[in-house]
Amino acid sequence: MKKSRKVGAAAPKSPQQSATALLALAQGQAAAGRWREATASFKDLLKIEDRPEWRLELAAAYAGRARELAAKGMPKEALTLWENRALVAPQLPPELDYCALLLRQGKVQAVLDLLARTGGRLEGATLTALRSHLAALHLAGEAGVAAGLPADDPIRALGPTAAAALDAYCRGDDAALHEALAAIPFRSPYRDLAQVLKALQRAPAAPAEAAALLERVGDDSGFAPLRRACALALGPPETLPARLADAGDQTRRFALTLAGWGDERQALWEETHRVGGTGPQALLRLLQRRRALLGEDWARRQALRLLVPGFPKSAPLITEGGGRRLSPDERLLVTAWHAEESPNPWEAIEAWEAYADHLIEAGPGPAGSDAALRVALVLRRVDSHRDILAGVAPSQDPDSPDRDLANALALSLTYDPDDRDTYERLVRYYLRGDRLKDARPLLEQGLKRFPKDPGLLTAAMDAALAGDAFKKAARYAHEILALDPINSGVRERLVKAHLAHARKQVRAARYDLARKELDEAGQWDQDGRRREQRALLAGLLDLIEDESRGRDALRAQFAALGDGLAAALALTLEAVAIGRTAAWALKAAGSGKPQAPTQADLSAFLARLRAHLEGGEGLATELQRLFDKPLSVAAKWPLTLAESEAACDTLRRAGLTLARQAFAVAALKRWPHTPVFVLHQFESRRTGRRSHPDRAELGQLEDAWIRARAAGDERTAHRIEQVIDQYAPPPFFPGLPGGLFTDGFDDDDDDDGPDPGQFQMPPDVAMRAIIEIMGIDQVLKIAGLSAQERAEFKRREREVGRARMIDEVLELMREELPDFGTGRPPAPGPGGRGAPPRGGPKGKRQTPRVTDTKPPSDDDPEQFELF
Amino acid sequence: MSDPYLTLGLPPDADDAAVYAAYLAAVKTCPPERDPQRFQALRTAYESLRTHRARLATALFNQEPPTLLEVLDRADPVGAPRRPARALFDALLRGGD
Repeated sequence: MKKSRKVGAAAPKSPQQSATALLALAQGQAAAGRWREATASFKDLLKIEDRPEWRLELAAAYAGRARELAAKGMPKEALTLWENRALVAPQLPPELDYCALLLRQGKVQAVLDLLARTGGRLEGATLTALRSHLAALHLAGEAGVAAGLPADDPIRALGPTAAAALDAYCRGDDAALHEALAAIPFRSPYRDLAQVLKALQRAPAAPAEAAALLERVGDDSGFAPLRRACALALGPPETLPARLADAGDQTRRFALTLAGWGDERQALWEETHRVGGTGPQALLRLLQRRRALLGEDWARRQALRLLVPGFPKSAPLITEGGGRRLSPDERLLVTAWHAEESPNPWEAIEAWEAYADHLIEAGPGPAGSDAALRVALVLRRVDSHRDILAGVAPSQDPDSPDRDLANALALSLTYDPDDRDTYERLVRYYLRGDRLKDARPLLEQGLKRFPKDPGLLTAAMDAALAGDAFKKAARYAHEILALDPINSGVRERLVKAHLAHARKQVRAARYDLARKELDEAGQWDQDGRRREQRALLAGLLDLIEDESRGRDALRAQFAALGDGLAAALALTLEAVAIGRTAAWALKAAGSGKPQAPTQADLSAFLARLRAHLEGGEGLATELQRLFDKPLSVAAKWPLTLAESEAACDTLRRAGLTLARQAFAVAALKRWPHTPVFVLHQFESRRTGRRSHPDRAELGQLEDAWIRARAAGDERTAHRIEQVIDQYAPPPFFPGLPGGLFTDGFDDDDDDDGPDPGQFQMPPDVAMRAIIEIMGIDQVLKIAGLSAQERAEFKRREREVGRARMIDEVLELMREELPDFGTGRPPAPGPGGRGAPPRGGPKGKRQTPRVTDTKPPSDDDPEQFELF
Repeated sequence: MSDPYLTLGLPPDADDAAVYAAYLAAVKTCPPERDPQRFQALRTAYESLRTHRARLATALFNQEPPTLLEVLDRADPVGAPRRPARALFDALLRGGD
């Protein structure tokens, strides 16, 4: 059936139109490097019309395709295409790549014939390169080269000299090498060989110079393969295998030999690559196969290390590689290694504990023996690896690993009592938590072994200071200074210790002893940094003993200090420290109630307050009341942003809430919405208030958090986040069974406690029991109260007693948590954030530790699990 | 390098003096200004073997898996650069790869 012609179909093209389109197509293919298609298109084009310029383009396409095939390792096919090129455009001179390919195929005579026929048409550079290829072959012993060249051709004439140079290099005869190289002229076909040999000669002493010489040898030279092998060998040794990854056998052997690899090493490397690369399994097999050469113990240890990723699933790899099964010791060790990869410290703690137990069971030997040292090192491993005890105080949190680690460290001293660092580390840890009872025996033990150790003596001095044993502290300070007379830190602490002791003596009405301490302080205060404190203290002592004399002395001193708020702070700090009132001292100094300071006085006051706080002491409540109002007035002074921020921070640390609020408000007027001041304003407003902030307040804080994050102020953002979290839905005792509040509470955390159904006692009774077990402070801490707020509770507890205090805490809970006792969970706060889950990044202990050196105390929160 | 003994070229029973001597010799041939990376490796290796306690700790806690190069170093350490034989030169002059 005849097909109907489509309406609108294109009319057939004329031959001229077809040729134009085909030419464009072919040229496009050639430009894109699609040589195979380009040759086909140009051939079609020549069928339409045999034009000389199209023949040249076909010849170029043949050359392109020939190079492509040669690069793919298809030399015969490439040669065919080069021959096609010569047929289609016989007027073109042969290309160097074609000649080089012929030479590699051993067709030396064909190249010599080509050279004879077309040599005159070759470009100079091409001819030089081609002759270097012939020279290289001649040097390698290819007889055809000499047979096809006249005797006076430089390739033949200089061949013996080049061979002499090469042989001299190979046998290490540098003098002969030098002589032979000097005989090779610059324009010789062996010029590139000379460059390579010179580079090799210089490489050991001057690698950069050698590299520069090698760069002079072009890629088209007959000596280029030699140059490439040398360049690969001369790079950094550690990356040599990577550089040789794609090199052929000859290049690799040459480069490895040049780089100093022995035959055994080369053979092992080749073997590994033959059997499947350098992955863990291949290495395990290699270690097993060559264990006799490598050493049994060494090979086994390395094999264990290869098992760590993916352990215990990786354990069978060792037997699959031909090794014996893991022993219990090896299994425990690899388990511990593997556990170190976990972010949860408990995994590592438990794994190393298990290994330590295993070593102890095996018999650790006497203290100090290698076996005992191993036990000690294992017991210390998690702390030394994660550096946990370095900056923390003993925690009350049962999920915090520090207590277990401290116990492990203490136990380690049984096996290795000569590790000075462990004593100091433990002592410092306990001192940070004011656990003097735990620190003292360690100090005694440590100082017995290291009586002249400045670190331990300093720790002992700090322990004495923490226990108000000033005499003892001074004695240690003297010992340290005897060992290290320029230790200004200890000198300063000694002065402080004498001053503190003097204050203690004043409080005990032993004024003569106080003066003695003051004199001592004066003797050690060589740089006069505490002169002002000494003078004030001496004035106050005078005042106590002789009112008239003391008044004169204090007035003079007060005037010398500037007569302002800063002077009042210095004076009242000393007065309070000796148990007297601020008003008593101020009256004696002729000063009335403190007034708002000038800007300069404000700066001096804040600097003095900062120095006081940095000494680790807070500001007495009496002084907070004294200075809060006058300082609030001083918020009017035009401080810079940095000064305002520093002022707010200092006032926060001193508990000067009103002043802090005033400074934050003033700063916000000047720099509206600045996150750090929003935070100060919020916190100072909230201080002392038990109710939740309203949504607007929290909203402002959240806006400030967003702005702080946007501005990259991560510190402020983090602080704001912590504050917001305080007002999130109260995470009351998240680790506790939910039955205390409701059957459904915390029902997604089945591992946290026993069946909620068993907790059917009234919530009030249960909570009382909890407080009695955990301690009031710990309960308040979990409830989110700040250290300052908890300190108030402690003070109150001292006043009213523990039982009454528990009643008050329970009452407070009823007020703050309306659902407390109703069986419903506490209402969510406006912040809407939950506390982070327990056992998060720091995790939880999986199994109870039975080798703790210290029995749990009644205050130990872990006792909660008994509930 | 995971094995500090290989880094310093020491036998497994090396004592404090041997470790120190090997470290000094290695640093002399490779001062920090010439190759800071290598110097750091030497320093790390020295610290991990410096004392008897450190050597015991290294044996217990070093879990870094070996590389092929370390296995090769153990079997046959890299020596001084060698001059390839004439036959190897000839193979490359013939255009071998």
